[in-house]
Amino acid sequence: MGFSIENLSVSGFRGVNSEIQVGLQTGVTLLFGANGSGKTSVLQAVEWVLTGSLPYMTGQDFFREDAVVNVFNPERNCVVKLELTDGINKTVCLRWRKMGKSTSRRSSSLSATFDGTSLKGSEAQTAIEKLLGVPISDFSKVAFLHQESIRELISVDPKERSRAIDRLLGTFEVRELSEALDVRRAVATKESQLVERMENLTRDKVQFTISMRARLNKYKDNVKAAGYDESELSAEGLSRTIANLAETTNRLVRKYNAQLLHVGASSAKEHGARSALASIESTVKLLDRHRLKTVGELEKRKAEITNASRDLALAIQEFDSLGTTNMEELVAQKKEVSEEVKRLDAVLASLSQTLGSVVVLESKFTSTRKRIEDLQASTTRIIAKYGDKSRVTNAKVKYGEEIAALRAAAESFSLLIQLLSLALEYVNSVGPEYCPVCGQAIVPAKLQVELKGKASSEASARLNAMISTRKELESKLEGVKQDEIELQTSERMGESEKKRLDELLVDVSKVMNENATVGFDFASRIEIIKNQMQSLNGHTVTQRTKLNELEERDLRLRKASQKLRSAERNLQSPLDSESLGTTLLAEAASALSKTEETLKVYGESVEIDELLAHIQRVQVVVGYQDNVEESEALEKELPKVSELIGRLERSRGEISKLAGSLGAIRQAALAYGEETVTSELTSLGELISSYFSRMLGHPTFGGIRLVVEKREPLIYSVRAEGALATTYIPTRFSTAQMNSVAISLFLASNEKMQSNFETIMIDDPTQGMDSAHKEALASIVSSLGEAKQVLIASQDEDFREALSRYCGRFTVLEFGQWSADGPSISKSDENQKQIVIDEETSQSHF
Amino acid sequence: MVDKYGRICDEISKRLPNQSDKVLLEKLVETYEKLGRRGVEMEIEEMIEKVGADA
Repeated sequence: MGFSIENLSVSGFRGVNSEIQVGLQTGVTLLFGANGSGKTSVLQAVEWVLTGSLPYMTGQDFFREDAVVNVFNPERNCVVKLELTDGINKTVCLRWRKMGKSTSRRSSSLSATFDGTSLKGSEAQTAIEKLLGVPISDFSKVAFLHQESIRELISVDPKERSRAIDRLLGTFEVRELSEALDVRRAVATKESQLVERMENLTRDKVQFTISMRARLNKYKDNVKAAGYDESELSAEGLSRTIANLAETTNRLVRKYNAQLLHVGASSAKEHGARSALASIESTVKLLDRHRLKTVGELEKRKAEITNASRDLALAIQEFDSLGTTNMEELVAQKKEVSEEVKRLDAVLASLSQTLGSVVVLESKFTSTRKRIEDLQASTTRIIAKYGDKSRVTNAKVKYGEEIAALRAAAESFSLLIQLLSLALEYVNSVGPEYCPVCGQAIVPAKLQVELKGKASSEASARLNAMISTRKELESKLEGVKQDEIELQTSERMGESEKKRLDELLVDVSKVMNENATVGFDFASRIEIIKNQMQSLNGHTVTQRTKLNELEERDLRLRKASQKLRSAERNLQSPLDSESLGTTLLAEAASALSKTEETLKVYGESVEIDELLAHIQRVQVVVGYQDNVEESEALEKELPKVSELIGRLERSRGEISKLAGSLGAIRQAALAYGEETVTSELTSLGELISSYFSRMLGHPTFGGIRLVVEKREPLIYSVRAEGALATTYIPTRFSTAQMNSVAISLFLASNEKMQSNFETIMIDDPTQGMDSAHKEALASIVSSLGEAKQVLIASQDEDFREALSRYCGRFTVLEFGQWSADGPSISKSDENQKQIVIDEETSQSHF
Repeated sequence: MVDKYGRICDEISKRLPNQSDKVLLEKLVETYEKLGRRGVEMEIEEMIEKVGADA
């Protein structure tokens, strides 16, 4: 008994993200679900864990990204674990992989356990190959019919169909190798490139020689047309010409007194004609620049001497026009007049100050004398009022005494009024019927009225009289007091003002320098001072005018002198002389004459111009010489081109030899492929025909035959055979019938191969089939499932129903809707009872 | 277990008379086993380019 799958665990692989665990039994298991739900991923996981490859995942798209690892997997890796059993022994295969940049770049890791022995890598792979009993590359042929194989076989392109048949027969590698060896186009392209290059080189070589000679002849003609004879075109003639040019250049360097290196006469032989000529041309141009610079400097010197001479002549003329003047005498005069002006200014200032003081003192004197007169008038008025000064005091005493007497009378009268009040109080309170003093009978009310009437009228009259008298006396007393105070004040202030007047007279005496008295005549004195000041002012103006005239003359002289000194210095500098005045002017005239003579020499450029023109002409000859040298150098290179052409010829021969070898290998591979396929088809012929007949059930074409139709490339034809006729299936049969060919080929191949792996995987086998074909396929699968483990992926409801009717041991794995986490799988057993698998947590098998 | 690529190499080699071609075949089959068809194509392209580049 061979090995079949017991358990499968998948995570992060293709359409499976979170881990799923699937327990499998022998018999038929249908992976059922909508397109894209993950069915194929589970079958591919089995193939990948055993072989490490996914055959149809080639090409640009698979190179751009990793198609093996699930794109949503958070750890970005995949792990597939497969447990195989033959009923006694158990083998566990584990393969994992980190996400890479492309499907093919990153390799996977493999480990396997066989009867308790752990193996890794290539050892594990070899052990798995041994367990399967067929080469890993033949896994598809033995165990897995891909939906791509079916699609390729259905294809209308015979080449595609043939490739699919090769995959099913296990000869695909020979086909690919022979196709890769077909380098006819690449060799032809390379040979064409080599031939083209050789032809170009040959043509260029010939054309180069011709064109170079033509160019030289043309150049030679042009040089001759420019006036050169044959002897000048030779290298010796050119050297002689350049030596002459060098000699002329050196002569001119001496003539212009330039600080330049002399050109060597034999430099053409030493450094080559072009270099020597360039050196001469450079020297001549530097010489010309030196000449022009010197002309500029001489012109500048000429202008400088001319201008300075003119300025000096004018300055001498201006100085002479001011006449001969003794500067010391002029300075002494200026000093004398200046001191007189200062003296006059001082006298005027003194007079002005005296005048100001006298005016102020006069004002003070006048106001003081007025106040004294007013005080004297006040004293005279008061004394006239009383007669003399002593009577004022007597009047004050008399009025004081009268007021005191009046006060005493008023006090007596007040006592009487108090007694009267007491009597009235008594009468009012006691009410006596008899007078206590005289005992006379009285009526109190009447007495009271009489007392009140007499007392009030008399008392009031007498009291008013006394008050009036007192007020009058007090007023008189106050008047006397006022007069007394005014008199005393006038006397005191009069004394003070007299003192002040005396002080003012002392001040006036000091200012006027004479003894001033009360009758001093201020007005006449002020008038005298003013007249003195007016007289002095006139004198001062005269002296000041004189001083101004002296200063102006002094200034003009100084300016003329400065101008003369400046003009002399300006001329002394360019002449490098210390002479002055007219002597200096004579030296300047001589220097000017010499400068003009030198200018004539440097201003002339005919010789340099002619030399430069000569150099340009010689450059044409140098150009001709360069061409001659270049042509000779290039002609030396021509043998190298011939050598290159020879090498290209040899390369062409080697490529032809390589193409011959590859072609021989390719022919041998094609022959081997043809023999192998023919042999394989012969041995499988009856089996293929048998399966096909069971599925097709055609009344006429009961058999099928595959034959090699064409060798290069290998093309197979698929023919249906019957008792009456034979036909090509692709031309007359339906898609479903071509599909049946693929399944027949796979099943025949599987049956023929002696493999220890008893699991068959078929992906989407019912493409284009009607119900009758599905019934027939279900019947075949059911018989296979009795001896083997059959895993079929399909979304076909009819096929599922047919399988449930035909298969004795039938399990359905239902795949739910697509999600980023991967498939959600539930299982139906033979009785169609569904068990939901928790893909996250379940560790149990079903 | 018979090595499939070894068998293919032997079978084709038997049909080649030239020893140098047999050596070249061995090299190409080895490349195919490791790198597939594209690997063989690239190796042949390099061989052709190398022969041409010497010139």
